[in-house]
Amino acid sequence: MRLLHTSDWQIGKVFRFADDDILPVLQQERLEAIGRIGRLARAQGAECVVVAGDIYDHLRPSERTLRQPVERMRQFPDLRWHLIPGNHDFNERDGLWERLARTGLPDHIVPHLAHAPAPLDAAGTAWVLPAGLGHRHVIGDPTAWMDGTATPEGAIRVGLAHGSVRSFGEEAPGHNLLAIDRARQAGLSYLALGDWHGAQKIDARTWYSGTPEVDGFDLGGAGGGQALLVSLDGPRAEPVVESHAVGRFRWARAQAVLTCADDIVALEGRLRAIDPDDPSRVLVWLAVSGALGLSDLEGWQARIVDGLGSALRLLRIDGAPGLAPSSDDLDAFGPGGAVRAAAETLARQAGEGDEAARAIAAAALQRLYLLARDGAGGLA
Amino acid sequence: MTGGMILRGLEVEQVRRFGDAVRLTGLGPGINLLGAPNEFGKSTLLAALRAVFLLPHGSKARPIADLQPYGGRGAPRIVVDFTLDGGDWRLEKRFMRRAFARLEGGGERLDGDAAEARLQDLLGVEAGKRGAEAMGLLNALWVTQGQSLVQPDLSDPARATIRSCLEADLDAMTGGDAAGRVLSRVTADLAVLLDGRGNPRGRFRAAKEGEQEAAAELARLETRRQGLEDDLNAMADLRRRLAHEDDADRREKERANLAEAGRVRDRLRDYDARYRAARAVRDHAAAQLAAVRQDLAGRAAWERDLAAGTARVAELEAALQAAQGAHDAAGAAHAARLEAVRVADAGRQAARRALDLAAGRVERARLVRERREAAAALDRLDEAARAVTQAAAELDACTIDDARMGAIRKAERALDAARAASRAQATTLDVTLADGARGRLVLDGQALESGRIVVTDNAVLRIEGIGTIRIEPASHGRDALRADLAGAEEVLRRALAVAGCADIAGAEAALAARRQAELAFQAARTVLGGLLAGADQVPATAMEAARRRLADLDVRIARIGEADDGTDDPLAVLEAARKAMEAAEARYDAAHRALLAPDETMRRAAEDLARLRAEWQVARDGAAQLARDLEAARAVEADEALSARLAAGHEAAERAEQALVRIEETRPEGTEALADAAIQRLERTIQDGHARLAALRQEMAAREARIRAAEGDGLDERIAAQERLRAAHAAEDAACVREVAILQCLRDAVAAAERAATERYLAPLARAIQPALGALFPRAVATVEADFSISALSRRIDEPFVNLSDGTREQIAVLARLGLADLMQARGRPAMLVLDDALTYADSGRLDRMFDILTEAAGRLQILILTCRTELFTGLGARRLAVEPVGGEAAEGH
Repeated sequence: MRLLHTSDWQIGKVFRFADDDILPVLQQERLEAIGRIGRLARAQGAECVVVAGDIYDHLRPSERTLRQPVERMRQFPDLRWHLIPGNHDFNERDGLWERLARTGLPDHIVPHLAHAPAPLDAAGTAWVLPAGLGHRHVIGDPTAWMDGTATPEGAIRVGLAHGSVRSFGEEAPGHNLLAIDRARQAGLSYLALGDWHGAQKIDARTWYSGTPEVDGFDLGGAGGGQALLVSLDGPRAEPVVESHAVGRFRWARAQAVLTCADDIVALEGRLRAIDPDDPSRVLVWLAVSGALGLSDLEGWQARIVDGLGSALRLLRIDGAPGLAPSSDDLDAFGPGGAVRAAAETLARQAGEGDEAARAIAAAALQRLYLLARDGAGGLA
Repeated sequence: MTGGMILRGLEVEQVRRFGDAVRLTGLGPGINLLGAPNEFGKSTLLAALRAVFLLPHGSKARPIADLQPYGGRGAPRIVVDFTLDGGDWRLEKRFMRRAFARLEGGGERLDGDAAEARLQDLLGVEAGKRGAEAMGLLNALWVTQGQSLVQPDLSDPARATIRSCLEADLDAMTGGDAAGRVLSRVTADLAVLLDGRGNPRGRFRAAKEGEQEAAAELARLETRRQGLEDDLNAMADLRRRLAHEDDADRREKERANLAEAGRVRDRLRDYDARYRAARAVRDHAAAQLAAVRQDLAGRAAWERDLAAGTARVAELEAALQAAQGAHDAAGAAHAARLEAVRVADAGRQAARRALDLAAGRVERARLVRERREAAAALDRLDEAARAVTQAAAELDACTIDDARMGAIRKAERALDAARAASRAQATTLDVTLADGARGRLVLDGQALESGRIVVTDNAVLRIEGIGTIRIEPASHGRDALRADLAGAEEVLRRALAVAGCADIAGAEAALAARRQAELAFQAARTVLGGLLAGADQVPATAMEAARRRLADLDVRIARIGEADDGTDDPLAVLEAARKAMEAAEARYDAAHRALLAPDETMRRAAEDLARLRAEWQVARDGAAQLARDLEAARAVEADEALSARLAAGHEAAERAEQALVRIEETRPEGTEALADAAIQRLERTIQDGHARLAALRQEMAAREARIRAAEGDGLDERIAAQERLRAAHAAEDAACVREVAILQCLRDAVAAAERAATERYLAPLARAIQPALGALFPRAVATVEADFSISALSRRIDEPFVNLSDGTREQIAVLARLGLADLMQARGRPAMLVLDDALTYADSGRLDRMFDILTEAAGRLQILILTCRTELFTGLGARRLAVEPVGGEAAEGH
């Protein structure tokens, strides 16, 4: 049999850095990914889709947010969608999952709230052992029960869980921590995991699918944007896992040290090359340092900040190139006069005093450069 | 004078008071003075000058409207001839109706807007907006009346003009304009973010407010989420409690406990009923037994009482007989004493009668004696009264008394006095009769004898044989004297008549007789007074009283009756009778006392008898009743039957007691109150359980409704969205803060640079002003600001312009204009100074120095002075101007 493994849809996620134009686009694309997953499953002949938790980003979504993914899945009645609660949308009493049940789910959408095995497909060739979370942080391994839980003889056992197979630092010691060899211990043909947003193979039978639509700049693993097509030929057979891209946006981090005009050109080329066909699918978080002369600063503003900023879906910039005014720069203000005198004052201020004051003075000098040039209709 | 601007002539028509065309004549280089009184039109000429040079011909602005002739609409026409940089120009403009402009000079002639444009070019001014004055430095140099105190108010073009003048001097100095532009642009950009007070506005303010609003909304949402968490926790707790309450086993056990408690209470109630019944039986038996005992005791008491009663009756009968005997004896004794009393009383009556008789006799004798004395007293009184009456009659017969005698004597003395007076005045005739002559001499018919005759009145003396002599005494008041004499005689005669006397001697005798009669009357009255009872008693009354007493005594004597032949002494008889009476009284008292003593014995005997009789009857009746009752009781129940009943009662009481003891032995544990309390408690537990269950379900329903409502809102999602919004606003705020900092930094830098530059290029202006200033205020230095105003004057100390005196401020204002004009002149710009009513505050010393300064400047530029105080400016050596009708007579202002 074939199934499609996905997780961490995080429907309703809010991106703080995104402005009012970008946010709805990013949120909408997460919903669109569901359709792409469904179509992928169909195309690949998968009978069911297992979603390993964190369907929703918030424990208390709005009614519209609650229903939107259901409506997307409703479009695929030929697929069985198996859902479990993750740490973001854990099964709180009187919570999200009860609301969802009250909306009246169609039969092909199956939320697994209890730790009890259930048939994965209509024929019952495979059974799912779901380990959804009842709390945001569960002490102990939520998959431990799988070891002693029987399924019909000859059925393929598929584990479905949400959590981490290793601990990350001291902040959350052991929370939702899963045994890294649960598949072996519990005799699972395949353990479909969620929680990590980058796809990751733990062992031949244990995989993280990652989020289908990237939602961060550092997802780890294979990055986000994939779904896993899993082929299971029998209870003992090793699963065949193929990663398929389903995401649309590409998120990238970049760093640059700018000291001259060439650096600017190189940076621009690098960032445009992330997706040469459609830069509007790219989100970049750029960290900049270095120092430029006045004219190069103008170039930075024009090519990177304004130019790339418009081309890319999002260009987030940390830091800014500093100002290193040259004597040529000052000559641009003319040989004398009040403006030249002011520029010299600002250039001096940009080179002394505390960091903040220097940055302000540099910016003021840059502004003066632009104003003087605009006013004069070209520098003298 | 080289180059510069020289006004040659000014012609106006239809301008305010100048209806017909007039021309200002005499204009030339140097100082020009138009001295004219107020209302002459000096300011009108200045306004016309400004209008023709600075206002476009098509303007209908206020300054133009103000130029129209008084009381009517006209079309002001102004013509000016001037020299500029050696070339002659003629400028003519008409305003309002059929407006036009024409500029001729330098071999060209321009009309309308072309003329205006050329003019502005010549003057170096910018066209004003919408028909207002063109703006340039000339405005500042042509000072109208009342503005001479303030420094020139420089418009932007004026400042630009000055700046261009200054910059032309300093080739190296460029970018002043650029700095100004940058500054105004930066200021404008700042104004978008900050208001006049430096507070955020526009998007800056929106960012701050948005952040606050988002934070507030976030707080509200967090509160709601906390509420939802609370509801969810409460819901879980409610579920636990519901499960506990709803436990079927527990409820079944509670019901069983209740049933058992009910059974315990039923057993207790049953025992109680039986115990009560047995105790009632026992109590009844005991009561029966007590009744029998009581009956027995009652019957024994009856028998005792009967025996005692019978004995008592016999005792009383014996006492009764003894009492009767005593009573009879007492009655006999009493009768004997009564008789003794009656006899004694009869004796006492007889003695009384004898005593009364004796007393009567004694009284009669006394009364007879009294009557005799009374009759004698009446006789004496009568006699005395008669004597008094007789004496009074004698006294009344006397006609004279002391008063009348006094009157007679007084009249006599008066007569004597009158006679003496008459004689004293009378004529005295001493008659000596010759022998034989007697009788022959007759006076008033009366023959005279020898001797002295006094003639008091007219008299006729007849001498016989001779004739008569009439004598008239020549005395004064002879008639009065005569009347007095006659009066006195009459008085005496009348007094005597009253006294009933013939003469005075008789009167004296009569008075002596009266004295005797008075003495007799007094003696009689004294006798009578001694007989009367009081001094005020009238004799008649006394006599009447005496008579009445006599009659009374007669009556009393008659009443006593005739006296018996009383030979015995009545008093002795009376004494004997009184003694007999006393003896009889003593006897009666003794008998009476004897009667009273036996009365007490009698009464006591009667009481005893009655009491004993009553007691006897009661005792007898009681005994009889007791005997009857006893008989009746025995008839009902014989003594034997009563004894049998006592034995039966004893037995019944014993049985009932034993039955009660047996029942008590079956008493169950606990009390009914405890059992009831247990039942109530259990029932309450069950009821409360129901109520708690209902309350829990109700609360759960309410919580659930709230939870659903909150969940439907998508709180978490909204909080995330709100956090994003707040972050966005915060970022925007930070960007604005940064932008403001950048702009302020830039502004400060540019402003500082511009100030520094200005100070450098202001030096020529300061230099231009300084010579004149030094001349006026030795060693003083003016502080020139970037806007070309003079802000302070430094002599020994800095003095702000506004603190200077009016005169000093005015002089500095003039010097500033002079300096600016000099500056323009030096740069080849058209310059010309007009002072309207200026320098009126200057003292003579300053004025002289100002004249020197103006005269010196007039070598370089034309100066036009308009004043109404021509005398002040006589020392100036100025050109005198006049206003003349065009083609008419001169009308010099002075």
